[in-house]
Amino acid sequence: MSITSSVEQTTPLSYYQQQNNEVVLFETAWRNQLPVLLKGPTGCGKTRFVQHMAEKLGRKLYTVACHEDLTASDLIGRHLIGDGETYWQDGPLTRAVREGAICYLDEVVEARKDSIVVMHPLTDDRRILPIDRTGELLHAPPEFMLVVSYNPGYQNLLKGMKPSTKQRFMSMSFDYPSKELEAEIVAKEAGVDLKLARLLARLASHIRQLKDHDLEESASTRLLVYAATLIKSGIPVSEACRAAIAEPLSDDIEVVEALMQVMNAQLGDD
Amino acid sequence: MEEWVGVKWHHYITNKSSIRYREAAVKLTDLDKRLAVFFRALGGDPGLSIAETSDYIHDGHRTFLQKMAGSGIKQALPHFHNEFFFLPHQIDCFPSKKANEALYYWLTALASLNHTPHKNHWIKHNQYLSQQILSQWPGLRARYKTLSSLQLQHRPKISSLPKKLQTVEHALQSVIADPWCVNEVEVGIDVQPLPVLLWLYPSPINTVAQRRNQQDQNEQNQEQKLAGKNLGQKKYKAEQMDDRDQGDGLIAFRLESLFSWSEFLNLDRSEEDTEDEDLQSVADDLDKITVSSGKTASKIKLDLDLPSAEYDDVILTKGILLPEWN
Ligand SMILES: Nc1ncnc2c1ncn2[C@@H]1O[C@H](COP(=O)(O)OP(=O)(O)OP(=O)(O)O)[C@@H](O)[C@H]1O
Ligand SMILES: [Mg+2]
Repeated sequence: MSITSSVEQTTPLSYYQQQNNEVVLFETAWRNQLPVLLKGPTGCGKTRFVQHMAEKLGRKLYTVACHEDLTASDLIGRHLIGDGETYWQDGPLTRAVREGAICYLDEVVEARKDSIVVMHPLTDDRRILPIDRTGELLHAPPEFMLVVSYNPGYQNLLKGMKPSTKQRFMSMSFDYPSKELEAEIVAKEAGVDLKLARLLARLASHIRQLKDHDLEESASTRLLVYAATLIKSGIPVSEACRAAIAEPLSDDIEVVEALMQVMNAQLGDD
Repeated sequence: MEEWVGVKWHHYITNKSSIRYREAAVKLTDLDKRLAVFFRALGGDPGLSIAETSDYIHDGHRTFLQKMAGSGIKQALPHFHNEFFFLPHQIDCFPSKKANEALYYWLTALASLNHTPHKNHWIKHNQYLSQQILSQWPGLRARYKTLSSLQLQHRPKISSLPKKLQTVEHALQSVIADPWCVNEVEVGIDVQPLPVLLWLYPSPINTVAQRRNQQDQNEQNQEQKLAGKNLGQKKYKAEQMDDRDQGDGLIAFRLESLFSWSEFLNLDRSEEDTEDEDLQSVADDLDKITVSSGKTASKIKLDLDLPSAEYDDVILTKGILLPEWN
């Protein structure tokens, strides 16, 4: 389990390029104590968005990467033994409730059902967190917010989310940005010029047409940022694209070679 | 001995007349998966499949040597037909594997625009397609330069051509060299140049049939139906039976133009309904299936994908029934 918390900072907010009305929507949800669900493919900016919003709203952020071994105690807390006696240690969810922070459960469909149900009393109008082990009952302050995300891709089709869980959240759908926005993001994130970033974004939009037919996942904005970063550091364009885009997208050598041909058609080769 | 000399002469003259680099040949089967992904990524219709085409008889002009060799009539030409984009089963027209492979990708790129050129605007349509691809895919420009200069080396010398072909050939060569050049010339019904390797062709290709049978739409449809069957990846040539334009040959009458049984199936399907002929094996032996334009072949029903029932099924006979004993 990885828990990260953003450091209180006076430096500028981490960069997030807005695509629609998501910033206002999120802020409104926070003001009205509504929990939020973010859906979207991998590497489209969900994590970055939450981080940006937490900074914008001046809230501490607790991020939990969910996985199938994640138990309710991992979220709420457990008794530990130290100095000859046992003491209670809060889990990230409990801490976020106490501090009025934002708790972000990434890839929530990966978590076990029994750990998901502990969120239920927090996500309706009671906004409480009962801690069975200690008998404590926490009331979440108005600043507290629960955010979960998942990628409705092929591997999650079966898992999905129980409707009773899903309907406790206000949902926002994310997707890869438009070509122009994506080029801007890539240029800013990797520090490359807009011309190269535009070519990469255009390339991605073409490769995305292969989703479902030839590829299971689309080329993400994240991969484009990787490719641009490699190019900026002096790796030749086609090598950078192979390492950062073609190879991560497919294990089928025929498909990888075809993607390389598409890249060469866009960016030149030889 | 006579035969031996004949064979040698045939090889010599066909090698001389058609430019083929067998050591540099690239087969479609080695590339088709990549080409399909490439096709879709560039915007090609995902509902289409790539298939291979056998050689087609084209009406285009032939060089003197080709006429002498009786070669150059057949040429595999890329085109759309039904749910398929057909590419030559092999490309060996350029001296390097790399160039031949690049030609496959180039043709696939042109096809990814999902337009089939019209036979009356064939030059201008291909010019347009080339422009579009080169401006949308700047990375292909360097390759196009190589391919077009190689292709231009194949083109006949303009002065060596009959008068009526000279203007078209000139226009064609300028467009190949520079797709952005200003061009108003178009092919005409009896002005068909030597095939251009870098371009797409209208579908279906058989211009002889189209020219001759415009009044007979029925037969035409039938031809298309048959030609559209993708017989185990390979598309067979179906042709309206027609006297070919003998004016393009070197001798007016060629012995091999006599039909033998293997080339001509005069099927009278109105009577013959039992399907007990082994049409599959006949069809497989042919590289073209000639459909007579006569009224007898009004309907052809060939079960070409599967062996006929008689060959396929295990025939269960009744066996000998013996009286029970005990
Ligand atoms: N709108 C955006 N603004 C700024 N950066 C972005 C944006 N979208 C994507 N990125 C870039 O893409 C990278 C990946 O984004 P992020 O980690 O937020 O994806 P994610 O949606 O959380 O993916 P996953 O589902 O795999 O966790 C970021 O590090 C950032 O560089
Ligand atoms: Mg994430």
